[in-house]
Parts: sequence; C-alpha cells; structure tokens
Amino acid sequence: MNATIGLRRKTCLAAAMFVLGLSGCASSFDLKPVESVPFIERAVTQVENDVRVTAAVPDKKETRELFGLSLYKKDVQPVWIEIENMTDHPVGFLPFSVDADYHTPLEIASLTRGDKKRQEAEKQLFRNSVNMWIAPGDTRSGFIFTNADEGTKAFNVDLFSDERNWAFTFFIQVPGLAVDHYDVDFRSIYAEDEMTDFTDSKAFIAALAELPCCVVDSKGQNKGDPLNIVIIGDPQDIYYAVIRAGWDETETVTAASGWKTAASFFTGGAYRYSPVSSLYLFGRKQDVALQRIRENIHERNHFRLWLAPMTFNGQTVWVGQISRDIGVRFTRKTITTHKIDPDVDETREFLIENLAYNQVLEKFAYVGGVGAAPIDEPRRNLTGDPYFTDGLRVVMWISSDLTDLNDIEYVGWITP
Amino acid sequence: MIRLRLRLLLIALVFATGLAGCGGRAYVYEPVDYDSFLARAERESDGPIHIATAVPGREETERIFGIDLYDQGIQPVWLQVENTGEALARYAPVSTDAEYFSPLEVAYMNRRGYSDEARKAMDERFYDLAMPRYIDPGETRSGFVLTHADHGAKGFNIDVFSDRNSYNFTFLLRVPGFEPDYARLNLREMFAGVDVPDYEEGALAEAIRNLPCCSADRRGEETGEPINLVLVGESEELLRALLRSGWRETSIQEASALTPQFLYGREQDAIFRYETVGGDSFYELRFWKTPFRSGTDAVYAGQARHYYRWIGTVSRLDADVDNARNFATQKFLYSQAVKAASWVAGTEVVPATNFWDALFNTPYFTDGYRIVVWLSAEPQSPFDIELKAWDNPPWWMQQ
Repeated sequence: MNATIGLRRKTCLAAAMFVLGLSGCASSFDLKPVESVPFIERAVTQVENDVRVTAAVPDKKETRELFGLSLYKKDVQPVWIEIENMTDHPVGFLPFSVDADYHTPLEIASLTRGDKKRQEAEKQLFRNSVNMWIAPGDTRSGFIFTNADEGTKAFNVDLFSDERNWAFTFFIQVPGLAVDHYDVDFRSIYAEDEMTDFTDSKAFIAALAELPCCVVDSKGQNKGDPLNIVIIGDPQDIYYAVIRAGWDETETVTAASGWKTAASFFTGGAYRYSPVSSLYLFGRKQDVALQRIRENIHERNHFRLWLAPMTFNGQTVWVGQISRDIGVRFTRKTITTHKIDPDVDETREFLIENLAYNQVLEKFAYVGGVGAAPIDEPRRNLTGDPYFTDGLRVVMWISSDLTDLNDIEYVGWITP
Repeated sequence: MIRLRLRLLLIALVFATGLAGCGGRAYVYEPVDYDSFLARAERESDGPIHIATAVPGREETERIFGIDLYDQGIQPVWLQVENTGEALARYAPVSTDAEYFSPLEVAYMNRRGYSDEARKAMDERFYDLAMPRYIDPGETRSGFVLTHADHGAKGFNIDVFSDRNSYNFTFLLRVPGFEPDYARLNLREMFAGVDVPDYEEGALAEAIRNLPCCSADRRGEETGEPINLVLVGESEELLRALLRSGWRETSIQEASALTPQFLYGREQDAIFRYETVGGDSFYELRFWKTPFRSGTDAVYAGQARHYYRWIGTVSRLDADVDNARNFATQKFLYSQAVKAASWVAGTEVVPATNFWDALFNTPYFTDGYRIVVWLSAEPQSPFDIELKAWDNPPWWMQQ
C-alpha cells in the first residue's frame, strides 16, 4: 500500500468516525469466549470412525456479541466447528466443504476500524479459525466465516487422512426464519399400509408414470407446473447432495418475507431466502422447498419435493418440480411471482448436470407421466406462465458415496 | 382502491413506453452462416465424439440473434458434435459454463419494446439456435450455448458423455474483434526442442523443494512472494483444470494493477483469477513452466494469492498466503481435477507473529510448505485421490 492511500484512508476514517459519533473509538478488538454466548447450547455433535465433529452457529445478535461486529449485515455468518481426532493419523479438514466461497479471517478483520484494532482482530480471528490439520489425539476448534444463511444452516464437513475420508452433513437451526423442511415430520406423513415397496422396475416405472402430471393449487382444482423430477435415495444422502450442489432451503411465504422480496425486486439485490409460494401434491404443500441463487433474484431456480407413498428397493422416493426463474412479475394472486423459463425440460436437464458435476448422481433414467406439450401448444402453470415439454420425468438415484462423472449410469428406460 | 390506482399506473406506464404492448419493434435477424463457422472452427476428436467449435464476435452475434448480446455480458459459443459411436451421447452445457444462460431466458430479458409477434419470433429463434443435449448414434447436431462473456481469448471445456465414458475437450479460441490476450497460453511449445531433465518421484520431490523460494522483481531481486503451489500435468490438463474449477484468464489491465512478479527471469506464463461470490475478494494464480518435467508431464511453479477489497477499488493482499494455496487446491479437488497431491517443505517459514510485529514488517506469513497437485485428465472424485507421503503434512505447524 503506498502512502497516498494510507493518508486517504486515515482522512476517510476520521470523517467516518465523526459521522458515526466516534463509534469506532473502542480501539481494542476482543473476541468473547464461545462459552460465554448461548449459541453454543445449540451445538450439534456427530461421531464417525473415531472422529468427532461438533458445530454451532451464532445468530445475528450472538455474532455481534462474540465479535463486536455486525457480520450478518455483510452477509457473513460464522460457523464454529470443533474436531476431535481419535485416530492414529493426522486428519485434514476441508473448509471448502462448508462453504466454497468462505471468507478468510484477515478479510473479516479488515471490517474493523483503525490500524491497531484491525491488527488485534487479525491476530485473534486467525488464531481462532479452524485449523486445517488435527494431530492424532488432538482437538481443534475455531470459526469459519461463511456466506450467511438464515434459518437452518445446512453445511457439509469433509475430512480426510491417508487412511480414509469422512463426509458429515449438519443442519443447525439459527433463530430467525421459518423453513419448510422443519414443519414436516417425514415419518408421520404416511401410515405403514399406505406405502408400497417396488422391487420390479417394470411395475415401478408404471407407478411413476401414473403419478399426477402436475402440481395443483390449495383447493386441488387447477393444474400447475409439471412434476418432472423423481429422486431415489436415503433422505440424508439426498440432503447432503442438494446442499453440495448449492441449493438452499427457503422461507415459507409470510407478509414480512414478501416485502423483503419486493425490496430485492426493486433494487436487484440478492435476498437469498426469497420465499416460494406453496404448490400442492398428495393433498399437501411441498415437503421441501429449495432454491439455488444465481446472480440476482431475477435469476434463480426453484425446486420443490414431496415424499411419495412408495419406496424402490427399500429407498425413499421423492417427486418434484423444478423451474428456472427468468424474471419477477407482479400478479394479483400473490404479491410477486416468478416468470419461469417455459422450456421446463431445459431446467430439468440442468438439474441432472448440477447433481452429476457435484458427484452425487449415481444413475438416471426417464419415465413418462407428465404428458407432452409442444412448443406451439404450451400449457400454463398456476400463475399463467406458459410452458412446453417432451412429457418425460427424470428419475435420479442419489449416491451415498461420491460418484465420478464417468461412472454415472444411464438407465435406458425411455430415451428422450 | 389500491387496485384501481395500480391499474392507472400500469396504463400510464404502457403509454409512457410508447404503447409497447400494442405495436413495438419488429425482431430482425440474419440467417446463420454455417459455412463461415465450419471454415474457421477448431476441431478435436476423441473416440466416437468429434467436436467443431467457433465463437462469433460481437457484430456476428448481433446479426445472428438480432440483439447485441455482448453488451449484456453474454457470449454465444457455436458447437457441432458428431457421434460416430453406437450409444446415445449427451453434451453437458454446464461443462462449458456452469452458470450458462438458457435460450428463452435471454429472449425474455430482451422482450422490452418488441411487439407480441416479435417476442414470439424471438423465443423461437433462440430456441431453434440452442445446442441440443442428446446426439443419437451416427448423428451430427449443432447449435449455440449462451455463456458469460470472456475478454481476450475464450477458454472453455466441452464434456460429452456416452456409454459410461466421458469425452473431455478443452478449447482456447480467439474471439474476432478482441485483442488477443497477452497471457495466451502457449505452454506446449515452451522448451520445445530443448532437452529438459526428466525427474522420477524422489528426484521430482527434491527438484520441487529446491525451486526458488520466491518470485523476484524486474531487476531479479527476490521480493519474497513465495512459490507455494506446484502443478504437474500436461498443458491441456492445466488449462482444463483451471477452466473446470472456475478460474478465468485475467486481462492485461487487471493484472498490471498488481506488482509484476518474475521467475526464471520472465513474468508469469499465465495468470488466472477467481472472484468469490459477492465480489468482495478474489484469488489469483500465477504460473511459470519449470525447466524440468516428469515423464510426459510438465511441472508448473505457481503462486496462489488472495486479495480482499480494502478501500474503494484498492485490494489488499491477504497475509495468510497458505490459505490461498489451500483454497486453490480444494477448488481443483472439488472440481474433480486432481489425481494425487503431496506436500513439500520449500519456502522459508515466516511465523504469523512476524507479520504483526512491526520489526519485521513482512507482507505475509507462511508455514513454508508447497502443495504439489497432479492434475487428472479424467474426472476424479475428491475422495479418491492418492496422497503421496513426501514431506509430512504441516499439522504440527499450526499455532
């Protein structure tokens, strides 16, 4: 940094301090011990093959208490992780698995004002970041600075040694957001006699093709977006998979969240947890609603899943709908709604590749059931957006281990 | 009451935009000159898959699509895939751009000011021009993928899958109307005809340990920026791995804002950047091809850096250079581009306390390790890589 910049910075800081009523005056940075802030009581622990991982996530207020910085305002969310290595080998931790765009301690320290305070912040934040290596018999803990998630913080923790690997998935509730997934007790959705287990693929294909073509509205009267996704796998693996592929859980529609969406519509800003309106299948709204943000709110993908009353070779089967938003429109039915890409097959194929490139897709196939709608005779969804399709649903098996792109099996049930 | 007001507002808006809903512009475009694409296309084949590809420049794009897409940061890539195999083949657009634009999305973005008929025509045009995903055995399909625009040379991957095999191609094309980038990779030809030493495992480790500690300034004085990342692979694999994991070649304007770094008496052979979500920070990789090899693989000495926004447009070097090294490695790893990795002790250890102690005033601190990454041409699961035990991992170094 040259002298001019240094001087300009000082002048700028002086001005800023004056404006803020000398709020920057506190010259020392003081990271509070984690035990002193109650977020640690929400910590979640998992143990697997002689490694223990404990994680906790402070909310907005607790973060300010811990760091003296309003990190959530900067879209930064600290995640506290403790790793105990009970093996005989050094264990490596991959912060990239928690957030592929994590912030570094020194970057966070630069948010403080004043050289002395910044230097103190650099030291303390660096020393309290999670180490990449944990020696045999050792326990290490610290913070990793992720991009903020409201509500449930879902993340993976991948570890490795020269002997083996670990892949943990955490769901930690952070006060402040109602998330669809947690309203649902998956075990109580169906009684045991309502579930059918298929082992024969012919019968299974027929059952999938007989599922309703589309979602409906809350009264079950009008047909909406096509149900063109089927996912098979262990619920934990599916969850690990979608998080790994960059999907976030979404907020259910409330008046407050509607206003937040409206605000981001006008500013083009990224409100990541923009709510999705409810769609219905099997007489209930979606069990899980996810979205994957792109550059701003005008460009995001929505993905809803329902647990189906069937299993295939003992694995759960989920039916879903996916759409790519290409703009926000105002409608009379909901405050804002999203204009979707009418080429719904394009979006469906994107999901296959999105999961495949994140190594969580084991195999896939196509079945019928949606009913074709050619481009010049499009159907309409519940908000009146037109769509066209070849009428196929994709069936995707989620792997419990990571699968190389080359090893993905294409099951030739129906060829698109 | 509110609804009435809203309607009046809407009516006023429609009126103000020149009755866009009623009349509006016509949509005009010119037919695609496929001969021109085929004439200048770059071609590559692997097994049953044969690729031809070209990138239209700004004006050509505007003629084909009827819209100045470059102006919106969108760059079409023209692609032809021939499948001479016996199984269905699938092209994955995410391999070319992980956040590619869908055809109808771009048409929708550009609907303003056009008549209803023109909008319909535009939808159809964009849809018809799109590259299809599936290519039947014996068939040839072609079309455009809408990617984020790159300045200078356009580097991209094309992955085609067929019968549990993947066919991976990497192209680096010059875009008409753009100045060629100074950092255009010509690594394959470097040292051509020169008999560079070939090192086996043990000797390779030693050669990497003995690389210069740091890059130097123009006069050859070591400025102390450590060489902390070493990549082993063919130049195509290097480029492929960089593109696959989201790194972008940096233009001369961006790069010249930073201090030039020299090794072997020359500036870096390639410089790549990855901007994090939100744009508050970026990672930068600089590479120099070393004058030795390992079998058919070249060895690249590299520097990984992280910069975060400081004041205004000024960025500050993140003193924790080990983090940048670790981040870059993980980015390769999670992009399935790594087949093996190792650590070697190489540069001088600079304790973190030196950075905070005014006496030393160093711009960075480091555990002194280099990570060595063997790039994989085939996609490789991150949990399936070989860890070579060269020097112990620096787990005892942590403060």
